[in-house]
Amino acid sequence: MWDRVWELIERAPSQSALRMHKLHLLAAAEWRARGRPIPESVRADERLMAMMATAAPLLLGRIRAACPGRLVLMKGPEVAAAYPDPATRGYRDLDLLCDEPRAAQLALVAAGFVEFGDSTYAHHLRPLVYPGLPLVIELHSQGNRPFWLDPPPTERLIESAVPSATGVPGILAPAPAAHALLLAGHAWAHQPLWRVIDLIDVAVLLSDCDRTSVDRLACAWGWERMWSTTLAAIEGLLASSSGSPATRLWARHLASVRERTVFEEHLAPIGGAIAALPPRRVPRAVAATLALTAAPAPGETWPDKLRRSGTAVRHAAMAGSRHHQQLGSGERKGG
Amino acid sequence: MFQLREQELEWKRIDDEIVVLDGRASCYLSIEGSGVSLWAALETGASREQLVAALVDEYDIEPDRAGHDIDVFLADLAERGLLVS
Repeated sequence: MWDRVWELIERAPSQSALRMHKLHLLAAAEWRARGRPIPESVRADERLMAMMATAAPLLLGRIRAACPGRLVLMKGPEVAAAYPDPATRGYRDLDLLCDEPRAAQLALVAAGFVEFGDSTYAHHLRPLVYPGLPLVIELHSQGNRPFWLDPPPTERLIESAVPSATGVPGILAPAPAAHALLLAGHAWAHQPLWRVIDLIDVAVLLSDCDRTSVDRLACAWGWERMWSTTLAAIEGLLASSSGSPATRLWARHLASVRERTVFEEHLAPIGGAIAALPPRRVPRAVAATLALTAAPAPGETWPDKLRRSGTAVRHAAMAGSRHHQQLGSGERKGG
Repeated sequence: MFQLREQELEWKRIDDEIVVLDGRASCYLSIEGSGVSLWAALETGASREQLVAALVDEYDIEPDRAGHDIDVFLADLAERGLLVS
């Protein structure tokens, strides 16, 4: 798989594309191993990642000391620990699944953590930071996934949790099979199959799992079609170069290691729902997706929405970030 | 004997640089050059003589010069509370 990842890194059209797909740290490690110069901007990224990685165990210890209930660390440092070199898997937040997220949030605020941003997130409470430390803390009541998928069973996830690979006492992690599925759900949550790194994450965790147990769990959660589409995308992108239906159609940006165009950004949620749901659930999911796309954003008027839609049509072939920059919205889905 | 404290001190090495987080002060430091070798020795503990010998060996400098640089480095670490007594 890692040879194939290197091929993808070599194929990336720019450093910003590598960064968008969160491959820049993997690229730096490969360049270093091959005696190639590392751009100063990527060195700065490595330095920033070192700051995140040093803060993680410290913050997890403080969170554990302050919070009631069980805390299950998802993604971020837990996934990084599974990589051959954890420093190549960047992260900027700590996502914790909690028995009692609201009580934990209050406890953290009482312990000196500070809330910031707004409180409109569907899958986690208002983000927190500890003054002076760079990581963002997000407390979840359930795993992230696209809105048209049923949430995974939180209580079962917590019950089956195992000690975290970070080694911080009292911090748990999802059982490997569950974590692989949670990461798959995350890969679909913001934009279906958005980034190359999301598929690498699933593949890395899957390499340590009994595949049958993950398949069974996917069925139990009602995620089997999403899971099989994800596996096909991983196989098509990381094990061969033949692609899969998803990566040849609405996720074709992955093989080119580029950003989605505006058109692809609009197509992906529909293509994703069709690819990831049983046929009987597709019409409703597609209708809900179209309704979300067609409606004005919160606080936006209909004339502004129509103007924005017209711009999107004119920018159909433009890279998504450039379009959003020109719109001046500064709003991006995902994180 | 000089040694780095264990509590609330984390670091990561990137090439010829060490990024250090002093958790008590919520402060980041960057260690470069000869400090990288000294930091590695201080992780397990080393005497001043051992540190001088390590620098002389690695950089082929005079012991007096090495000793002076080490004293400055250790004083800085001590002032920041990064060493155990």
